[in-house]
Amino acid sequence: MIYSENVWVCLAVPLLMTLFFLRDKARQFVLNFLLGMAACLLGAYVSGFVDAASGLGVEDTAIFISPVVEEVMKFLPLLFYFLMFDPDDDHLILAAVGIGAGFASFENICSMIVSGTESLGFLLIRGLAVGVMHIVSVFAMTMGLVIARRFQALRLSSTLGALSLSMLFHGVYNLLVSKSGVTSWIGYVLPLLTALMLFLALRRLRSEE
Amino acid sequence: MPDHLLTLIPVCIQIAVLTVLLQLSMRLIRESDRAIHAVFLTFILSLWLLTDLYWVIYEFMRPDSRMPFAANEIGEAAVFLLDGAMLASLVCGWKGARIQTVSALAFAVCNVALWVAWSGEWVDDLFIGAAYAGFLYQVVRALTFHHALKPWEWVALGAGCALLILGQALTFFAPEGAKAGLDTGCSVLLALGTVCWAVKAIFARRRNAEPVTLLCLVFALIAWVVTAKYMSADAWYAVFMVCETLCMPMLYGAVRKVVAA
Repeated sequence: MIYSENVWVCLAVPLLMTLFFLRDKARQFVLNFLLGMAACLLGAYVSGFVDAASGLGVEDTAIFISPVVEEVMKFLPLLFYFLMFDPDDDHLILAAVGIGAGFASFENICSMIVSGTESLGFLLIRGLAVGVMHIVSVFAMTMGLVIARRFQALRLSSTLGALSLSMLFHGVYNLLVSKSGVTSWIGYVLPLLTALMLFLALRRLRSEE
Repeated sequence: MPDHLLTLIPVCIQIAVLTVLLQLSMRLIRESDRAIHAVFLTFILSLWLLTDLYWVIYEFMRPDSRMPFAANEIGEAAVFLLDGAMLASLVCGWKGARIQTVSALAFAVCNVALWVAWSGEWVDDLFIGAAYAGFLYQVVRALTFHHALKPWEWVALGAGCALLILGQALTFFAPEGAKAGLDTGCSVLLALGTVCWAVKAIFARRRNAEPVTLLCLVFALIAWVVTAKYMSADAWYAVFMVCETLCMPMLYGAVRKVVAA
């Protein structure tokens, strides 16, 4: 067991300090990065509670419940920003990427504390897989919101649709990497491939503006 | 054929069909100058595809265990919500239809009660059931608004639904021999209903009915097939899964007509 809230405080303090010296988009990114880290911490608490309450077991909770909880935790600050401030697409995407990066970084740090830092190969795979996956899933969610808003299809259902898209993507990843072998390698490659596809989709969307 | 293959093969076919339709629907967004129905369709198909993929991966990796509450159930509920939202966009005003909508909600509640009784999975069934009830409500509302069914067809539909619920509820109390008979009877009734809805939708298309009416009928067919799928097991489940796959190109075709109109 690690005291992840202590880790969060240690990481958050210097980042909080930078907020005084940064402006505009850089400040927004750091703030969202912090929010992403906080979402990860809260997600871990909620998943732990669900594990204890449901009796599913640690492994099954990580595979089936964590994607749902974690995506909701990432979604809530994003939804708040989206509904309260009605940001343009670029600011929304910046917020999403910041939250995703903060979430992934904090999860990676906690994982490294638990599993050790001896194997660079393992850490690289984790960084490229989990790290990219969190950014991709929150980015896909945001793209759903952006597209729904742009095409005047923004309803409760399309908002929840965007959220469940990211949950399903996260769930598929967790399921694939839950056992070693070919499936886990497919799982590790999946976020990178999806990131490439989303990048192309975003470029196309921007070129249509 | 082993039981899990009986379901796995139709789902894999459905994934292939969904992949093709998803590409077509994305092209439809561009062709239609970003029509809202094309956007909704793309959303629905992509969620449907991911839900199926999740299920297949689960079956492949853990063939012998029952899936707990997972992301694909949320995906299924989101598909129902999006179907409902698309139908809601077809109904511009409210016109009566109290008996039909109340009956649809009652039918949905009975279905959910039966799912809970069969599986004992309260959380999953209530969660999906709420979205399913919303979808049925919107289907009936749209059918009524566009006068897609004649009065005698409403009566026949009501009688069929009541018979189904009664038949399925009786299986809990009937002796073993009668239970199998009741199950088969319900499955035949569900299959007959599927054929009727399919014929109605195909005829509407042939007779150049209003595109919106055609879309409502296709959604009604989907609602019926999904209900049938949830009420069935083993071979019948596979049959209704194939029917559901056949509905997908019909849905794409109907949306294409609405967008072009």
